Amino acid sequence: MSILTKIRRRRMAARIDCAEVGAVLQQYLDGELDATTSPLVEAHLEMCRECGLEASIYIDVKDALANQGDLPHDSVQRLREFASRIANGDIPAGEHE
Amino acid sequence: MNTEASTSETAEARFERWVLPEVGGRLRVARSMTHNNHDAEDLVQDTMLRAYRSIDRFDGRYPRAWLLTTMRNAEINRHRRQRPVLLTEAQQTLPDPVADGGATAESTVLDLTFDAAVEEALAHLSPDFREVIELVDIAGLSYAEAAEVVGIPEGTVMSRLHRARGRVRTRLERHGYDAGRPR
Repeated sequence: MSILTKIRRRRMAARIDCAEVGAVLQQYLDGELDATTSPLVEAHLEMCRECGLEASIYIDVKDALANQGDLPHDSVQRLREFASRIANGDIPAGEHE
Repeated sequence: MNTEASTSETAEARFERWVLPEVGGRLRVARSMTHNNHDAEDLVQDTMLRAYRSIDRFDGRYPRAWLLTTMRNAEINRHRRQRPVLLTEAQQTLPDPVADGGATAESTVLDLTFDAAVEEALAHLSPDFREVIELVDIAGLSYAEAAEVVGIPEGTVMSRLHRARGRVRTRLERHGYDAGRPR
């Protein structure tokens, strides 16, 4: 990162304080924060060690929660076959409600 | 891409368009709801049959939210079908080794890998908190989609999610994980 870029990032980071970042951090990590505030939070997280560490905790928790969704291949395969049979009319799903 | 329902489309074509691509994602949520693979597969099958039966009424908006609502109804029905004695057994509270404290609990929890510790923390959340985590973090819904499924305002989804993750984090710290890594 060039010195000029660093200076710009520092200026952006200074436009939002730690308390403000804390209030919107999870929205930012979920991709739910508006396009104006997101770059400020991003710059702040790069420059502020404490907020960066806080963000890394929630990134780890979110990643681990997403891993809870890892699926057994054979289950997915069986369900896709079942769904295909419904779509082909091979499984009578009863009268349409 | 046109996601709206077309009146000329057959039920089979609609099913193929909206339900088939969602099988994996729905299994993730079903596993979180049932806590075992066999019941999860049954629940997804039941959901697909229900979805097929009602697909003529589906307007093509928010297919994931529609399927999740269908799944929730299927799960409620599954519990209703169970005998009362089984429900009572299922509702019994499991002992909480962390809350109980002591050397045995400590030796149990410190052996957990990070992912296992997260799974354990998730299992100890209240149903309201676990629900939003399942929908947003596991099933990948947006706040708006999750709000639609649960029938609560988006702001409530957000606040429940924040508090739920905070509790997961606290529990991980009690398991010996700090900033997501072993101390």
